[in-house]
Amino acid sequence: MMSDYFSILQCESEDSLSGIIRIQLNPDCRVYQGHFPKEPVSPGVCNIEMIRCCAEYIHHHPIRIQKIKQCKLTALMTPQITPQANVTISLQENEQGVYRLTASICEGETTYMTLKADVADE
Amino acid sequence: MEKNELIAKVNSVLAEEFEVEESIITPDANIKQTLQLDSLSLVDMVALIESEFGVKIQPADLAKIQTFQALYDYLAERA
Amino acid sequence: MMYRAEQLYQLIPQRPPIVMVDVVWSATETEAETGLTVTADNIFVRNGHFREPGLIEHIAQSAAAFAGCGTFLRGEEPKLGFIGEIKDCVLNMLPEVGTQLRTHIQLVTEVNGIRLISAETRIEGEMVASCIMKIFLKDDE
Repeated sequence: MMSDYFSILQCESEDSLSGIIRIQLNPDCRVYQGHFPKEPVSPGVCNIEMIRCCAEYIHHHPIRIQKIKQCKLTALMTPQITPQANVTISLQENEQGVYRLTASICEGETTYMTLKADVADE
Repeated sequence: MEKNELIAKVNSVLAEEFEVEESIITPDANIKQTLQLDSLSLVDMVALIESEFGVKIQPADLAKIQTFQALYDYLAERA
Repeated sequence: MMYRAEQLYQLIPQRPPIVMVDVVWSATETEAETGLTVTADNIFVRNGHFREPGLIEHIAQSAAAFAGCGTFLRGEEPKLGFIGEIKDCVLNMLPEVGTQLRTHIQLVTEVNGIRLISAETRIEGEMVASCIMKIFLKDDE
């Protein structure tokens, strides 16, 4: 699933709860054939999935999103204009195996997405 | 609803929703600046006013409602 | 009016492999009923389950199809729509391949081209997902 949507270039993380991951979007991912045929735009939900994958990468354990308290998509992202970006991840344990995930996707001065969600170990 | 009562209710629901101190809401203050509304949260304000006061702010009117006083007057005529 | 399969291409701008709605059961000015049968080749299926981005995209495209019913009846092309915000989204379960999702979309309000909708997705009456979403509709230049 979406395995070729992005790749991880670099990861700075000191524990299994937080870190910053440098990602690269793949303009050849076939999702752009349909989103949209004449205008490739990174789908918001794929960016949510990218954040989830980055959180898993830092957490070293599969996680599932239970709730999204708020997710703001503040700028459109495209692989042409934004080939790379930083994904910032912070997990805070609320109870055994359940975490509040706070994350963002940024590049330079631009914030593309902010996410507050409850996630759980899968 | 009495106008004073309406003003108090507008102030309290907006302060709670947009997490600001109620004291910074004054009649002449600009709504968007005071509540730090962007185009997305402006939609929340319209939906909140509609559910709390049963008044649907028409798109053409929204542009004219810049201050809290203008909002109170608009609602007072319709609520 | 009911729309199925490729008739939906008149309502939404998305195309394969990211088409996440396959039926519009009904639509009025303020609400719509849509559906999707989860197939094994869906790009958001992993280990036999329809994952989080798929559920959210299904809701977003249900809202797009709902908006598209209006533009279609006026003889216009579907507008590109983008998710602006997702709030209070609860994902109760990850549906299995073969199940049919049924989604109820309600238009809460519309301000300056941003539509605020609430959505509930069920499988045979059981709640799968619910959320509030804001969608930007892009006007053609």
